[in-house]
Amino acid sequence: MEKKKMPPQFWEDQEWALDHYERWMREYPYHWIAVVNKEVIAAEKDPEKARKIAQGKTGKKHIPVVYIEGHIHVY
Amino acid sequence: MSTRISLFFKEFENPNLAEKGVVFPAIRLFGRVQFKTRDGWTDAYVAILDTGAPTWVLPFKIWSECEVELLADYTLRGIVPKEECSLPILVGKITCILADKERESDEFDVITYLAMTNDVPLLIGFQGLLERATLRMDYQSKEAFLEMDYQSKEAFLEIE
Repeated sequence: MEKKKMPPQFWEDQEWALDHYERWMREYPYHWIAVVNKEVIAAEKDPEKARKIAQGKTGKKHIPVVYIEGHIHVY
Repeated sequence: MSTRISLFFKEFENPNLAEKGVVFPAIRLFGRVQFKTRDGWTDAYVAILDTGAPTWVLPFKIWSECEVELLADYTLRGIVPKEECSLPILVGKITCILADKERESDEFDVITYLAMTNDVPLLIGFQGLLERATLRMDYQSKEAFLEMDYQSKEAFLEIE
């Protein structure tokens, strides 16, 4: 079965989401955010729902979805 | 033959401590992982690499898309030893790869804790990976990677 190679934009958007993590902690605590072209397209409690909403809005297939903590936890 | 997969550090401000005048960065080490699903592979997820976690932890909606061999039900306990802070989970075997922008590892199997909620981060723990990969991390130079040697691929996955 073929593994999916992520396109360059996917990695850029994923990195951008992490670069602004503190902001998302304030705006979307304990949510999954879906990012396309350096913009948060969806924030949901369910990562698949966030991805599907973002896919529907942008038409993109590969979309990074990142979990945002509300506090800095020790696991 | 081995494959080197890049990891990365991120620093976060801790706003709750900053309010109290205590400021220091919360530093985490991350990797990127893809999971085998019933009809292909997931996109790459960012996961916290936690050498203190014996086992990986997967949120519900991620593992429920995956090809999973369920092994047991169990209770996950964290830093607070109270019963109300425990989390009912399943334990199962899944197949995954590590990836970075240029490379991806071969497939490997891990025994993971499968959460029944999406309110948990994706954690890469020790089991199935760190027994057979070499972890190098140097925060000073901001360099971190895992070097994976596939000769020992099945060595640590013995299920009775």
